[in-house]
Amino acid sequence: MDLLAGMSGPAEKNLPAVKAAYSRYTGRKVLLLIVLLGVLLLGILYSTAVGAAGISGKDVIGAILARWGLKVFPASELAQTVVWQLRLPRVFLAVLTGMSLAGAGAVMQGVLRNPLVSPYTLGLSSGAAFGAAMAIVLGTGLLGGSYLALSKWLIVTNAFIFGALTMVLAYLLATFKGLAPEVLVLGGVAIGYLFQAGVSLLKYISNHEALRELVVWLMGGFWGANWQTVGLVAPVVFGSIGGLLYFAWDLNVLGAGEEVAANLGVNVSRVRLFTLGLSTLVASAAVAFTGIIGFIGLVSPHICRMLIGSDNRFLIPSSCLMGAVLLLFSDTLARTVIAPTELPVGIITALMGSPFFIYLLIKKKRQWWG
Amino acid sequence: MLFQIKGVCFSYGSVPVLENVTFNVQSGEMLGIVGPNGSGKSTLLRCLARVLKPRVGTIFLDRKNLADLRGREVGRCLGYVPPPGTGQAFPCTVLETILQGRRPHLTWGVGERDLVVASRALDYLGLTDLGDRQLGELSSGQRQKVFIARALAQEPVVFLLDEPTATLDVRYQLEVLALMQELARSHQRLVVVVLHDLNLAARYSDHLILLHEGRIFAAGAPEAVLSPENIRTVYGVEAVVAKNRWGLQITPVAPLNGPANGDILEGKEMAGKTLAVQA
Repeated sequence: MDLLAGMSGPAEKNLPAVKAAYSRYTGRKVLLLIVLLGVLLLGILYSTAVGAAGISGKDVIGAILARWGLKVFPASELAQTVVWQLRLPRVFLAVLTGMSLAGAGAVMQGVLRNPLVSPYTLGLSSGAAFGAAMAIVLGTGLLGGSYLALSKWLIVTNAFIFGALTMVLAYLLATFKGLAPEVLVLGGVAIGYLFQAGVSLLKYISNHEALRELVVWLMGGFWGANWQTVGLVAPVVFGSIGGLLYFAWDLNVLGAGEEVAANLGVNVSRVRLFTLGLSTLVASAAVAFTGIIGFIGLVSPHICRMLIGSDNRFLIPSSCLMGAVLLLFSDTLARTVIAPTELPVGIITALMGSPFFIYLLIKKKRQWWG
Repeated sequence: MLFQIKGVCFSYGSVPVLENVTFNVQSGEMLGIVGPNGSGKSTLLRCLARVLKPRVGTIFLDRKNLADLRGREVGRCLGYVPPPGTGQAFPCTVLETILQGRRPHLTWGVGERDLVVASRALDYLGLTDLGDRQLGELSSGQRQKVFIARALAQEPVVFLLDEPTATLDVRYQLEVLALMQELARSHQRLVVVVLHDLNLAARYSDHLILLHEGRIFAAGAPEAVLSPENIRTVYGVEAVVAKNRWGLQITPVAPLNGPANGDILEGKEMAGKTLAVQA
């Protein structure tokens, strides 16, 4: 079935140029991935080193290597404890959260063909906030149980369940309308508002202590980070992102419209179900442990789109890395800018990120959306 | 290669759009589908592209039921070009768009063969210099050509085009339809094209199907299908049909029972007749 083989001459002359263009583009995409990975690794080292107790980069590496039994640079006992017990879990949780929010944002934007979509705007965060508020204020959740012993886990589970529930409801709502993306987006937004009202109500009826805890949770942060948390979140994040990458081509084709995608052999409703399911899972898991962190999920994919275009094979991983870098940077700033007091990371992401994003939006002359 | 459409019915909700549509097309043929707005042309084409599934009836491609084709086989057999106005949701270069058409052939990486096909498709439609432009920066006509090139990159047996010429200027219209004709004749493809322009439809199609309220009103050679009587019944328009060296020349004169205007008096005398004009 060599349809176009009959035509030679100019087409063949053109081939090297097309190949060159393709490898130039691919090279650029790979380069971005490598650069982001490098920045992330350096960021992890830097972020582990700075803080109330200053530790040199050498000590950080020493402490990490010592843990694996390699005593290349002898690090002090204190450095080891601070690095291993305090800083690294927090750094890793920030990295994982950035990855999951940005990856989920990139995929949700792609599958719903809407640049305004993110876990935050789709109401997932509001759902999670309601779940957490319920656990904090009422001291009881869907699972019930003794408040004091289970307090932390109750908040986490409740936030996870209600975050995911928002998307499930929006999805069910949309199935009535033939799974139209607009219905899904608007349904998610509407359900999000419903949960926000719930959060306001719970705030209003809560006592002083609960209110404070809730407000802090809502602003998002990585205070609660420990290895157990990291160990729980990491497999979910990497598993889901791997799963989402499997659908990268289908998402690319879906960008051309449902009809074209269907003709190219994509089972549109199946792709929607799986990609939305996985991105909901990964975003809910992250939000449950860290609280509400907006902006990262919306903006990281767009920054990457501006740099390398919309090929999801590269867009998803680079968005993940971009999200991780941005969130790690924000959290490091949040910890150190007015040390020893910490700022909630959500404030930093919005404060630093929004002007940067607006700058990019204006500077780029090309029309990227529409 | 034989495309058999047998008793296809389709409805959106309770509104029937297609009723008992039956016809055959063979490779090497270019079939035009014409009919007024809402007569079911695009729906029929979408059923053929397996974008929609007929409620009743079966479509066979070489005796193989279209409904049984698995995922990517659809894209390898049928190349669908959507009507103008459906673009990309996110920024995308021309080359990336055309490579989307390789989806049915590849799993993850884009290989040598994919790039060869893409470069030929680019060249075939005269888009060579536009390869790394953003799709959003092109004119609507150029974009339409990119979408045709994407279908070409699928290397399908059957091409299905919905209003491919609607946004094109006169030159591009002729170019694109001549390309489709060449695909059918020289490359033994099967081309089904939905057209609003009756002159172009008559000139480039080997056979025409005239749809009226979801049914085939007439089918066959363009001269037989586009008679003044048929045009009057289906479109509600008085028309003069003249035959010349380049096919039929259909001049719609006035809508039936519509408001009159200056030229009509003269036109009415000739309306309803097929004229043979020596060219």
